[in-house]
Amino acid sequence: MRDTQHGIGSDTGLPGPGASNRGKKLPELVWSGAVQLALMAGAIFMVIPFLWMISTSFKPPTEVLSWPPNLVPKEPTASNYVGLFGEAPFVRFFLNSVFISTVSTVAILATSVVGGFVFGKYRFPGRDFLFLVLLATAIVPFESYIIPLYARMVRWHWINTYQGIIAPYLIMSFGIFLMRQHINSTISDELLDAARIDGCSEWRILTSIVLPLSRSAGGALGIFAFTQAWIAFMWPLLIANVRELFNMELGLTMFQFRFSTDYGLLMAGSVLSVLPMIIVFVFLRRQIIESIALTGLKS
Amino acid sequence: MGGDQTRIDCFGINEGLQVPMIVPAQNLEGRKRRMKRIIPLVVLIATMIAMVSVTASAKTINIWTGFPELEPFYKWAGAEFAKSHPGVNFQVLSTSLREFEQKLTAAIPTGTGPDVFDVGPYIAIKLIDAGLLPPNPPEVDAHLKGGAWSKFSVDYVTIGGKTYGIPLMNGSRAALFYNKKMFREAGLDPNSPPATFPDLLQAATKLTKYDSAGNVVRSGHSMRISGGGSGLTEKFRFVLHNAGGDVIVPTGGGKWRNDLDNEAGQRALQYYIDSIHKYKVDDPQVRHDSEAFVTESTAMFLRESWVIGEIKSKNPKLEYGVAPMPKWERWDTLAQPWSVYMSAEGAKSKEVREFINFLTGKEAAAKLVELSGWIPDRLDFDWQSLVKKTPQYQVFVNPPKGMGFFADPVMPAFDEVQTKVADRLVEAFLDKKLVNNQEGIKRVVHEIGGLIDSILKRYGAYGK
Amino acid sequence: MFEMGRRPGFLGYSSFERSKIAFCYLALLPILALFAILRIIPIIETFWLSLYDWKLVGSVRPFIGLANYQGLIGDEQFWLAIKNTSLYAGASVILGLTISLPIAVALAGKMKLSPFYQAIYFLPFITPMVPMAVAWKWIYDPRYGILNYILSFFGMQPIGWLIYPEIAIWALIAMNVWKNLGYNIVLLLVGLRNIPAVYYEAASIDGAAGWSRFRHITFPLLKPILLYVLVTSTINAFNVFTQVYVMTLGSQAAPGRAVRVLLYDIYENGFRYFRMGYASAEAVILTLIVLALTLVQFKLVKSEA
Repeated sequence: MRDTQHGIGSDTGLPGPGASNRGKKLPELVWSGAVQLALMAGAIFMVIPFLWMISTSFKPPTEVLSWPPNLVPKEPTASNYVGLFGEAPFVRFFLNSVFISTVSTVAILATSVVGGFVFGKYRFPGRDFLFLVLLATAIVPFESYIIPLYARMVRWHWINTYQGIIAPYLIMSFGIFLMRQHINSTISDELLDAARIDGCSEWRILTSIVLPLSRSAGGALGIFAFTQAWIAFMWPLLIANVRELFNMELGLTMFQFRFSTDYGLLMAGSVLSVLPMIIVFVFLRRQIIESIALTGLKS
Repeated sequence: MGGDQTRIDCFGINEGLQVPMIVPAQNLEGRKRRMKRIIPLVVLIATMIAMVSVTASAKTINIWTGFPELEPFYKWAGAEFAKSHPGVNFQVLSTSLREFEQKLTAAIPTGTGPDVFDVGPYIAIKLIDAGLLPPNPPEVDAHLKGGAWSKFSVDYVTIGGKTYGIPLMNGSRAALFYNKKMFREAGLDPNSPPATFPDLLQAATKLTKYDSAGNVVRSGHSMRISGGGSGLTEKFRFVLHNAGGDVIVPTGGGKWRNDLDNEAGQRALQYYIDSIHKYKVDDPQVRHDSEAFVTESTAMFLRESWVIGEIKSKNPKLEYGVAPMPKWERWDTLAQPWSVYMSAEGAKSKEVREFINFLTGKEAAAKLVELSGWIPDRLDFDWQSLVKKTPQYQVFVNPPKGMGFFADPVMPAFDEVQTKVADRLVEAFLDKKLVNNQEGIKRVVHEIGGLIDSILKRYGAYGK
Repeated sequence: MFEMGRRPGFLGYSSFERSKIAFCYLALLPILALFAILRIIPIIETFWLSLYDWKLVGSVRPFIGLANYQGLIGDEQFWLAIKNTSLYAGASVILGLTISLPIAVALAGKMKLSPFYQAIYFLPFITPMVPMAVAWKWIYDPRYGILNYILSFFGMQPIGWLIYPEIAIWALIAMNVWKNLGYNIVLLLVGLRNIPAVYYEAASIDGAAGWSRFRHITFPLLKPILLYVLVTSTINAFNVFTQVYVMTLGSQAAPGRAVRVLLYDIYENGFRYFRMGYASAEAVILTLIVLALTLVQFKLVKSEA
């Protein structure tokens, strides 16, 4: 029987194109051994940049510029990390990133659930047209209309403000699309009608039925929205002109301008920028991979 | 495991695909955790709001510089100034020059740039031309014209009868730094550094070290040959100008044309090609610039006085000399006032004005040399005691007789010209096919000349 | 009586229906307003701005018709950007898919370590771009970088990965492939795991195994998702900016021309040279390219369906 319950990140894969485990013949064993070897080699290649980064961050300057390089620091030191906090307010950058991403995620979730619900469960004049227009905006890359948007921020005096940085990240047409699909498939019209008979207003239905039932799709969308805001670069680069407003990405970039050749310090800064995401990934690995698979396939 | 599934219907593409969603059982467990997570979130948002208000309040003067080595100087000046102006505090943002220029040009038009910044004349003129930089207010103007600056400097910052900014330092005045120890080892006289560009190349061939495979491990003359940005063209101009050409020259009536699509341009490019590929005195893969000189990875390079400060702090034992810019057909070095500017009037303008005056005053001038190695542009500076203390300054403060100066043209297109020419030069420098290829060099130089003229035409500044 | 549910062909609205419609508009109003301000109007404005000579500041904004586009045709740097961006997008997508497909096929089978490998391969994708670009710049360092060190075991001379124009773009492509490999694998895995087992069962009765099974069952059934990943990745790669910005910084960085991509050119023209109208024209071209790719995608999807 086909098992449809496994997650993408789960290990109960169906017998796929690879050979089955039972009753292997010798050539197959050799083959699967070779596959294992190749996968392992690939995995090592994938993590080398991380290891190199971490290793360099613990080296004193003389060892950073030594040849041949040591993969494991001979005289490990935390001085790069200590120096880091003296040179740039990384805590502030981190808090900014968290703040910007959180506000963006909450806003996208709210607008997507409401939009998805209304577009999915109601009929009203102009619905299909409006929905199509919203979807169409997703096709045009954000960076291509950055100039008029920037000019608007200038007119509004929103340059150098949190609201200016966050504004474009408040909505996501894909989010509305995703939530509409989800609400259509999980919430039956009968349920809504039953609630109406019980005297629920439409707003009430939204908050007490649709919202709780949108959790799982909301989780996936939330992860997607959060990471998207976290890695924002070009827009904050234009909008944020004071260090106090830099997010992690921008903070590290400016830091790189300043210490372009001090790789020990730079790698310490990079490790610090990568760390929060890796920690989150370790704990939410499955959800993140599933969220990306889902959002990736739908967008 | 109960699967909370959604059918994927991506415009019909994945008909029938089943993507399992996050499993609800986990969500139930997670709900409590999620509640707990909300509390720190609220705290976080509260702190953020507090942070925002802090940024907005107080009299903070924001200073931007493209020279990281100026940061200690600005910090000192800020602390000194705050003593007599309680309540004023300072924020210094320093990045590398190229990125700083980009950030500044994007920030100034929005009125969100820094209150005080130092920038090259080629950037300032763009801002002035676009009406983004106000002329000096009367008291700053009076400070400038009080006799402490040379007529050349005052004229240089006068545009359309008004002065803009105050010269903080001498922004270039490049000279030849050379490692005396390496000179001795190579059998060269450390007291007679190369005086012409051909001499420089010849000395460099003796000073370069190679590994067994023939790769450069220590360059003889460290040139700016990779990366990009206007700085690369600026360094090229050291050679180009003395070869008899320049990037652009005035043709009268505010018009300009390129002056490198000629023999001088070919000679200058050939000089680079020969240095890199024919005699291999430099290699893009080794360390460059002041970093290389300070760590003794190169024997010679052309740079400004701030390197003295850098050496003092990073490798004080380095045995080095500084010689005038080598001559060729001509003998000039790039020298121009590098000014500090204030952005448009605002609530802090009184403090900013006073700070600019302090920053460019006599007291600060001494600190500028001490903390950054750059030399102030003021005439009333005690040069002799500086040279006595650090003889390497001699060339910078007492230029040899017969050597002249040239400066960046003050016109809006120059930044774009320099940046785009730099991109073309990098490509040419690394092109091995140009070795012993007079035709190829001619063609490249001709192309670059055409590029320059086309930019000038677009700005309406091209003249024959 | 209330009219419940949806009724196709319902013409006049009851008061209840009307209140529902009012709810719809009321709930959508803020969302539509945000979309109008942050998406729709700026998109239209970009087209409009591309017809003007605008320096962002000052009230002078002469209408110049298609002159910006004429300028683009003669702008060697713009064509270079188009060429580099296309090469970057095309090469990273093709390389990325060729590498990720066999990995995904291997991981789709019953294997204890599959989730572990998935996590490892996916790790680069979720890490932010800037720190990884900085790290790769250090990996590519000609003198002290680990890449040249590894290659030295194979007797190779040190290479200036980011320095030479013809190599620099490939260095960026390699990093991009590394970064997005896990994403491709995850999407392909979804496709592979949704190939019904009966096909394989039928195939094994017919004696098909290994390569022929892949060729005749896996690949054709996977084709829609492959095409989908191909086009979306291409579109994503066309919007490359961050890694180019980070890796071209500093005197030892990548040469500007070799890795000049469209967004970088737009950024420089708009925000360094104040040529907002010109940059908008470039942005319009970018939009058209992406639009064309999207159309291709719809076409392919339709023909596959």
